[in-house]
Amino acid sequence: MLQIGLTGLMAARYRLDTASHNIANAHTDGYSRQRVTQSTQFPEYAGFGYIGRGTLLVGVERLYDQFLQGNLLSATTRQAQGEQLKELVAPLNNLVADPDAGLSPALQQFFTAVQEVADNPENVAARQSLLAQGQVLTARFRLFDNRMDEIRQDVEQRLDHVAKQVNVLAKGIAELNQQILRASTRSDEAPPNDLLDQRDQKASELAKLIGIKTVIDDKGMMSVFIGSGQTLVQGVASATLAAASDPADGNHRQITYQFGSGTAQVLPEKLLSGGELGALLAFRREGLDRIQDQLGFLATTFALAFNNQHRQGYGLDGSTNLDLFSGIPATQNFTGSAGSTITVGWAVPLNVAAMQPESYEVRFDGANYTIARTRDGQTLYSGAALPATFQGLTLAGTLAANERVILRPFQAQGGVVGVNLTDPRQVAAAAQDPTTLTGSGPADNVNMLALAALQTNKTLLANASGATATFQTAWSSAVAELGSLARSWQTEASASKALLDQIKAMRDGYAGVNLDEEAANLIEFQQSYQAASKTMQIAQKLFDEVLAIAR
Amino acid sequence: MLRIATSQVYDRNIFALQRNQTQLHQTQQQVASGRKLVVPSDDPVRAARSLELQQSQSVNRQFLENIGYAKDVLGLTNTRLTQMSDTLQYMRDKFVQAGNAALAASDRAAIAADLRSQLENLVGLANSQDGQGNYLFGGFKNDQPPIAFGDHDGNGLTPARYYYRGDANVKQMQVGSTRLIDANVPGSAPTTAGGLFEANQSTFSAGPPTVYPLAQFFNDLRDAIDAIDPATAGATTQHPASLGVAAADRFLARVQTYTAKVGSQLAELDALTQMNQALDTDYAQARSRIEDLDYHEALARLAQQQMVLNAAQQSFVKVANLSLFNYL
Repeated sequence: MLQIGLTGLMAARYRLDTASHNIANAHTDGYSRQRVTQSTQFPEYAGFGYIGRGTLLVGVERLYDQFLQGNLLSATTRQAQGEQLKELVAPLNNLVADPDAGLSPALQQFFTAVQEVADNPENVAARQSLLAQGQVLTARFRLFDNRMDEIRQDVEQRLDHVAKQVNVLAKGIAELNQQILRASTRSDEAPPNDLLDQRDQKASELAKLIGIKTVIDDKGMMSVFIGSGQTLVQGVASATLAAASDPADGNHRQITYQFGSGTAQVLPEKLLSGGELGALLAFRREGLDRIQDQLGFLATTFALAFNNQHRQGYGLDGSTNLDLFSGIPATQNFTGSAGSTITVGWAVPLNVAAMQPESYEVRFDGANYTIARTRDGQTLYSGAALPATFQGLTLAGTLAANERVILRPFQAQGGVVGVNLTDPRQVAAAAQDPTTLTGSGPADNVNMLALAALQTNKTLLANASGATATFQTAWSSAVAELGSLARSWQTEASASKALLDQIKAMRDGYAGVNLDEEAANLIEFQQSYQAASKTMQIAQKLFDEVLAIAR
Repeated sequence: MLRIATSQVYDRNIFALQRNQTQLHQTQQQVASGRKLVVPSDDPVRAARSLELQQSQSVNRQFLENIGYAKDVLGLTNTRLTQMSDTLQYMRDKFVQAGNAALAASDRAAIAADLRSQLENLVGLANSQDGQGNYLFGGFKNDQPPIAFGDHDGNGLTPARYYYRGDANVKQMQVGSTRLIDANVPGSAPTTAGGLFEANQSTFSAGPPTVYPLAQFFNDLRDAIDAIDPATAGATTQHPASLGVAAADRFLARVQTYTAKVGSQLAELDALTQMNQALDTDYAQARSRIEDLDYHEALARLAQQQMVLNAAQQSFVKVANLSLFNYL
């Protein structure tokens, strides 16, 4: 009887311990509540029947649902990506929004100044004001570009940081695999609950960084896969990710993957969706590259078209063939993955209407060149040689077999455009030289009227029936595109958050700790403990009775 | 029965509080800025439309500015043309008077002297400047007086003539998206004798020597005055006044043609001003519909969101205080 009481006492004791453990971990991330499982001791045959021998502690189980855990991982990855995308795009969204500090007002004020010169071509103050507004406009371009560059640096640094964090977590899972293996070999029956929770928690943290799939093998080891099935963790070994600079694309980093002593391979960007890493890559591809291409496109086409017309006119001092804007380079060199150089220039005669706000990936497979735009991979050209002119650009150079190069003709231009003229008299308002007898005079505003027409004439983005956009509409559609993207990411962030909350609620409803419940358990188990002590007290009393009889 | 973990109670409440706060913050931002659209993602299509309306409005306002400049310069031109008209009318009368055969040579000399000073007056009007010192009737070459008197072809042989130093160009100003208005009256025509002063620009040659077109109207008037002046024509000349009347009439007809043109342009500019002002109001209203906040709706929303947040905060405090441990 003393023994029976003892089993009850011990069981109550362990139940109290487990309840305390649950209470202590009520707010531990990824903790699954635990429960002591009991059954009856094997009974003793007493001639007339089986007498119970007390209780048997079978083990400590954690309330855990593999299915919910799997759902939780995929929802976590999706939510992390959505949330990150929303936050990443917010500064861009705010940047282009300001009605006073935006690009559009600067563009409008510049053209207002152009019209003032057209009205008063002989007035040096009006010309000075035009140059000043040119400075304001180009400074605005550069400000936008600098801000985008800052955001880009941040993205590139975070890629590196995330890759390192992934490595740390993958290593952590591999180490936990080892500990779990060791603990499981000690006793097949008793799973190391807290270690399993820790491993699940690590997997969940990993899912916040990168989309993963997990599989538990028959030894209880967790394997983790990323991308299109690359092994991140297998047994006690883990792979290494790195953010390395892309040799074919100057300032862009790509993610490389290396398992054990294998060679490092590049993981294609499209395969890496989910989590912070997926968000960073998608933001860079669809948000940042796109808007900076569009900003640079506007700066380039505007400066080139304006200069082109400006060069045809004459200043008050008889100067001609001068550019009003500076900074846009005549040619740019892009280095391919094998070190070849492709030179990109502007088509002659200038064809701004054919230019597109895109970046291009050029590949040469040894026989054919293909040109695809980077934002969606759509192939635009395929042929045995690079075309001499392509979408308003000139292309020169050759690639080695299986070499690739990313051409970004516009991306940097927002940051370099400036005003070339310093002498207001050099503003070419006149169509003929106003200083010569055969030319015109100071009132000649013919070229200025042609320049002013650039504000409202459709100059850009030609289709079969001609140019479709003015500088203003090209920019407002870029703003709308960014706005739509930001909006869809915001929607995705709240949708994925709602889904995660729902799954978390299901998981926590099952596995989470409820303190009231544990408080009730404490009372219950305390009473069990007291009851078990009472049986032991009675057993002792019975023993005393027996002794008293003998005395 | 749905089981709820304690951490869920906190997580959910914190999430709800954050969401309410974000919404409240957004509304507050709208109220503070007075704008419905705060960032493009709030409504991308309207954001783009708003930028385009801004440009249309800005262009339209610039047209109003241009109209203002055109009105200033054409108004001044109109005044000067009217003064020329008056002067020419006066000169014509004097030529008629000089045609009276009964006049003595001394009377004709007096009339001729008057006419010469009127001619000087006319040259002064032809060399009128605007407020910025630009000459009104010189075409693009508006930085020097267009009418000069002297050796027009630089050969030193011919007697001094009136000649034109401007050019035949017409300066245009953009006063509507497709309307360019002529903002000056040039003194010459490109290929034939014409313009305000009947000068032929094609006779210009940069030389050397530089040959300027003759300002025919002025020379005709001068010749006519010479013809009635006893000092230049002799005392016996009969009825020479018809020459002067004809010259004055030709000049007068030309001035009146331009006066009519400038007058109709000024009328058009007045109409354009009203149209563009109405358009400006339309653009402003369209922008306001897209961009501006409905304060009644926004303030009602703000009050409601405040109430929700308040309720969420209070209920959170109450729920958080519920614990069995309080009774242990």
